[in-house]
Amino acid sequence: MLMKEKKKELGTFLVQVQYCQNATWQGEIVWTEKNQRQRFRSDLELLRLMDSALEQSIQTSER
Amino acid sequence: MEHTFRMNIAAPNLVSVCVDQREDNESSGRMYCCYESGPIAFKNEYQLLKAMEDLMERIGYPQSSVEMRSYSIQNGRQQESKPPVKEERLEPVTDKETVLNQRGEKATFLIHVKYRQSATWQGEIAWVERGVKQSFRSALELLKLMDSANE
Amino acid sequence: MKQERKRELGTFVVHVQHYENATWQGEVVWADKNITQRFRSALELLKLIDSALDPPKDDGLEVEHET
Repeated sequence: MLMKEKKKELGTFLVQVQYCQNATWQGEIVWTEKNQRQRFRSDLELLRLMDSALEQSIQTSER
Repeated sequence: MEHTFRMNIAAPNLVSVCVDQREDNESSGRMYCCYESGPIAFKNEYQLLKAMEDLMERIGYPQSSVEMRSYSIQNGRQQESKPPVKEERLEPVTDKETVLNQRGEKATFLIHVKYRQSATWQGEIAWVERGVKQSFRSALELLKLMDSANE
Repeated sequence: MKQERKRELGTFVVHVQHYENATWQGEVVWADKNITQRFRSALELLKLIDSALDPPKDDGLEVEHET
């Protein structure tokens, strides 16, 4: 039996990689659900931005 | 155990990463350092990165040139500049030899983050079983080097 | 020392759908090429973005060997 999964997203991000310097990326990320834009200076910072947004998203959905 | 590569094993933030499992292209295992009495388990590389970042923040070494941006709001605005460092003196609780003697089931890496510049890390990683060492210029490069050891 | 290469720009839409095994899963769309890929972890997402921005090459941990 085929069950169509209901895709409830935790977060959607628009990631624009604009430069590559110091062996890492720089650019902008938009957390679309909150329409918040941030610049990122590295791969780590990109992950951190996404992680922090998703944490908030998960906390909100648990309430 | 004889070390066939030169590495600054005296570095306070030197970590031993013991990879015990590989599943779905993700590594899990244990991380050892001198500031923890036992292993810190990680389920994937991202958790490992967070554990390493946490260690370096706690011991204040190496100093990061910038504060990481996040979407967590503090006092109504995003933190961008580095806040004053809290003087909390942490002491080593495990001797270096114990850290260096740990081994993973699949692979063992010694990682020394020498600098935290440009919001990322620069340093050296050694694959213990093969006696090879390589420099990395970013966390992404570090992850790719670890990954290449599993191919 | 490797020379810095200016890479092409890239735009990605990241849909994070699940949080399991202490990491994220979802889909990433490489908007410039309209290619969608699934990712099972944060690391896989990074690697997908990296592969889109730069073709893979072989310079892993075997390069430097000291005795």
